[in-house]
Amino acid sequence: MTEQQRPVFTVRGVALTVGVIAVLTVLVGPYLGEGNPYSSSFAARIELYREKLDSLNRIRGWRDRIYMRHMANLEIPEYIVSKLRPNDTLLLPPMEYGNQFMATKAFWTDPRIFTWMVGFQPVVAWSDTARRHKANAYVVLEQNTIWLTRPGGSTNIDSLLKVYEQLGARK
Amino acid sequence: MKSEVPLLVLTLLMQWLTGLFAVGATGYRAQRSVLLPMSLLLGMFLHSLSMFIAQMAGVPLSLQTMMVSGIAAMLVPLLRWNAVRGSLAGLFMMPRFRPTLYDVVIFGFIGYVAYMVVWASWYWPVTPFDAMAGIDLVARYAARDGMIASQVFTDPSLQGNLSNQPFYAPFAMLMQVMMKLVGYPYTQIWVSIVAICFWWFTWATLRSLAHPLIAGLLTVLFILTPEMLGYSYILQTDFANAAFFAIGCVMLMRSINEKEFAGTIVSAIAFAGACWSRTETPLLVGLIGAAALPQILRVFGPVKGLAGALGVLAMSTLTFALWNIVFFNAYLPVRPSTADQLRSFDLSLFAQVVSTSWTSVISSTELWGWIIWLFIAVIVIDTLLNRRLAQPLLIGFVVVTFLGLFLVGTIFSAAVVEQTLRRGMFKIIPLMVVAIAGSGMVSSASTALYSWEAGRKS
Repeated sequence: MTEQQRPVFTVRGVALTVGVIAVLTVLVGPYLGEGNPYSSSFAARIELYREKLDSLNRIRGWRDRIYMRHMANLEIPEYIVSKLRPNDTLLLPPMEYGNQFMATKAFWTDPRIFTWMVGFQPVVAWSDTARRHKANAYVVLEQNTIWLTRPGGSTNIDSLLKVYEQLGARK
Repeated sequence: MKSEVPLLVLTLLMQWLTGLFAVGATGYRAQRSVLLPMSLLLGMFLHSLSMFIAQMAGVPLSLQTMMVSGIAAMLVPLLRWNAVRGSLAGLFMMPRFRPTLYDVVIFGFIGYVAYMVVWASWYWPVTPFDAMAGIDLVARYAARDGMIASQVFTDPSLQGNLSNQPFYAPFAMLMQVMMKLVGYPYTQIWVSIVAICFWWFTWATLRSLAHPLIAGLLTVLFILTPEMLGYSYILQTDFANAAFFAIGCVMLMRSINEKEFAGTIVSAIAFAGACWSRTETPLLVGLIGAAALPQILRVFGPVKGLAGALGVLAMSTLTFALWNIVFFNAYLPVRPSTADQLRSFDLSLFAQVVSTSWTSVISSTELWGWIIWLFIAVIVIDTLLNRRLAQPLLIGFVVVTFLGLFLVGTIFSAAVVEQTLRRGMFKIIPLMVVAIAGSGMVSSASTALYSWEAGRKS
C-alpha cells in the first residue's frame, strides 16, 4: 500500500486523535488490570524512572550508581579487597555459600564479576580445583558479618572448606 | 559541555555517514525514512568491523584508532562515487511528510519513551550478569590495554572460568570499547541509540504497509513489548542482533517485492551485522536464505538470484569466521568451549524444546504483550476470509526463524529455552509486527480509514 495524502486538520482527524489518546492512556494506565501486560511493564521500566528522575540525577558518582544496581555484590568485593594482605591469595566461595546470606544472588563469587567490580586481584575461583590449594585466605560469612580468615586464625579452615564443599555440590 | 558529548556525536555522525555511503554504494534507492535509521545501524556495524580489522592488523585500540578506522569505513564506499551519488540524490529533497494531529500525539509518546530509554542507558551502569561477565569485562580491559586479547584472557584468576560469555558478541563488545574510548566508562548509551533507530526503521516500514494511524499504534505496541522494552537500554547482545536480523529480512523482502537486486546486497550487509552480533545467527540466516531462494530465483533469474543468495550467505559467513575462526585461532590465547556444547540432533529433545518454548516463552503475554496472539488472529482471519496469505514470504521468515531457534535449543546445550530462546524471540517479534501491518485485514482497514478520514465513500 502506498502512503496516501491525508487532510492535516479535520473534525474526523480530531476524532481519531481523541481515539489515539484514549488507546495510549488505556494501554499504559492501570485501567485493564492484570489483563494488560503493557501497563505493569511500562510502570516498571519507564514511569518508575520518570518519577525518580530528579532524585536519581542528583546522584552522579559512578560508585554510587553501581552500588544502587548491585548493592552487596559491589560492597563485598570492595570490603574483601580492602582487607587483603600483600601475600594473600583468596579463595572465592561457591555462589551457594554467598546466597545463604544475601537477598539477591551472590554474583560476586564469580571471578569474572569480582574482577568487573574491583579489578584483577589474587583470587582463585571455587570451581578452579587445580589452583584451589594455592589459596591462603578465605571468606567467612555470617548474618550481617563478613571477615577473611587465614590458616592459624580463629576459624577452622577445614570445616569452612567442608561447608563450601557441601554447598558447592548443590549447584 | 563535557568532552565526551561532542565526541559521541562525532562518532555517531561518522557511523551514520558510513552506513549512508555503504547503502549508496550498493545503488539501492531506499525510502528516506527507512534509509536514515538503517544507515546508522549499518554504520555502527561497519565501523566496529573496521576497528576490529585494524586491531587484527596490530594497531592498538585507542581513540585515534577508533576515529581513523571510522573515517576509513566511511571513505571506502565512496570508491563507488557514482552509485553513491545516484542512490543518495533524493536525500536532501524537501520532506513530503505532513503530520496530522494524531501523528503528533504518537510521536510525542514515542519521544517520551525514547527520552527515558536514552537516559536509563546513560545513567545506569551495566547490569546483566552475562554482560558483566562477558561483553563489558572484555571491553573494559580492551580499552585499557589497547587490545582485545587482554589480561581477561590470560590472568590466572579467570583461566578456566571464562565460559562462553566473553566470546559470543564482538559487535556489542566493540561498541562498548568505543563508548569507553569516547569517555563513558560504565554506560551502554549506544544500546538506546540502536533501539531508537530500530523503532524508527520499523515505524517507516509499517507506514509503507498500513495507514499511518495503524502503523503508529503498531509501532507503539512493538516498542512497549514488555520483554523488549527493558533491553532497549540494558546491555545485551540480543536487541542489536534482532535489529540487524529484522532489517535483513525486511530488506530482502523489499528487494524481492520491488525486484531491486541492490536491496539484496543491503540485506546481506544487515545479515552480516546480525552474524557479527551473535554467534548462532548464521544458522538462522541460512534458513532465511533457503526460505527466500525460490522467490529470489524467480524474480532475479537463476544466475543473479543464486549469486544474490550465495552473497548473503558468504557475507554472513565471513563476519562469523573473522571472529570465531580467524581471531580465536590466530589471536586469542584461549578458546571458548562452544564445540563441547554441541550435541547431536535428537527428535525427542527437539519436541521437548518446541513444547517448552511454547508454554513458557512464546505464548506468554507477560513477555510479548498481545503481538503473538494478534499475529495468529490476523493470519487465521486472513486465511479464512481471503483464502490466501498477504505476506507469505514474511510469514515464511517467521516460521523458519522459529525453526532455527528450536534447532539452536536442541543442538546447543548452553541454549536455555527460558533465557537464550526467550531473547531469540526478539528477532521474530518485529517480523510479526510487519506481517500484521501487511496482512489483508489491515490493508482493508487502512483503505477504509483513508476514505473515512478524507470524507470519501469507500
